[in-house]
Amino acid sequence: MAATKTTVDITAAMVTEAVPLADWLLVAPVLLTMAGGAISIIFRKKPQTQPWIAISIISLVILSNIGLLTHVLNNGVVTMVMGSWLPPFGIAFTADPLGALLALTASIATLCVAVFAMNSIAESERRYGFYPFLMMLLCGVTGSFLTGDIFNLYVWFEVLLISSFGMQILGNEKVQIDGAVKYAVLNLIATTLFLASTGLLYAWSAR
Amino acid sequence: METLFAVLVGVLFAGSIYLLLSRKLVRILLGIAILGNAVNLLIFTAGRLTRDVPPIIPVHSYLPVEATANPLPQALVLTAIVISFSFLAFFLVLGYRAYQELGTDDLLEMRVAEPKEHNEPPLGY
Repeated sequence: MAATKTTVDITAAMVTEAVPLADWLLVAPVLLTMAGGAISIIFRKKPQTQPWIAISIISLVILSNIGLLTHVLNNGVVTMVMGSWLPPFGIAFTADPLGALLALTASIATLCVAVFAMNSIAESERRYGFYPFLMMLLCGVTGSFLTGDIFNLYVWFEVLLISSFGMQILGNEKVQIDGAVKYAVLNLIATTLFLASTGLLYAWSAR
Repeated sequence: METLFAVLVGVLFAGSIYLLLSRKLVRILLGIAILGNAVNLLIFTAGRLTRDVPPIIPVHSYLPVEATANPLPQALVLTAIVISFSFLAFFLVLGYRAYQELGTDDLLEMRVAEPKEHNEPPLGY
């Protein structure tokens, strides 16, 4: 029984040519912030160095967001698919001018917060991991602005929510825990309804 | 089969909303757990329930020949199960810590963040 080799045309399902270098700007903010969160967790025992890691990485994110915005303004909407699989199978990242502008705004605001937190948050409190949560929050926000897939938007929402929960209860004070219970319940209900509507939207669009 | 599952999803949603309307934190936690499972079952059911035909597309055709269960909602549900489970784990710890710190599991008595004597926000400017 000889195995018959079937040739499958993969151009319908995959991007075969190499991704242009400028399109990597689309995932650079997310990758940078995720790596920054991991690096600042590694430095959790050195609260003096954490802010400088965060500030330098967020500055890099701002630069790449500026690059992405100019790229989008010059060349129109940019789409990049993960693992070269086209959208029915792969997850798409898409940037239009509004999304790139919002991502840039979010990163500038986060840089201001990171600089202000150097003095505002005491070193003893920083040990609970303020800067890693800040980076992962920025990661979730940028991801939800730049994603091109509605289920992926739900996943990025959860990324930013779980880091905001963590940031809210840093320090374990009574006020924080009391507020976090209500905040977490409301957000869990809202994201669950968002998930239900995503599933129904898929069922509706696939009729 | 789908009708039965739709009814089950409705029952789960009704039960979870009843529990979420409670004042006790533990019941709210149970309500959140049931709500997540209700949504997962809803998406799972929306992707068609058959196990007779495997979802394999023959060579030289673009779509499956017969109606198969759609594998993509099942992949979505897998992701959603992981996320809702991790949220539930976080929230169980948060509820336990809230009971330890605040000494109550009644949401009407959890007034540390919004004290009773706090001034009401203005209704107009």
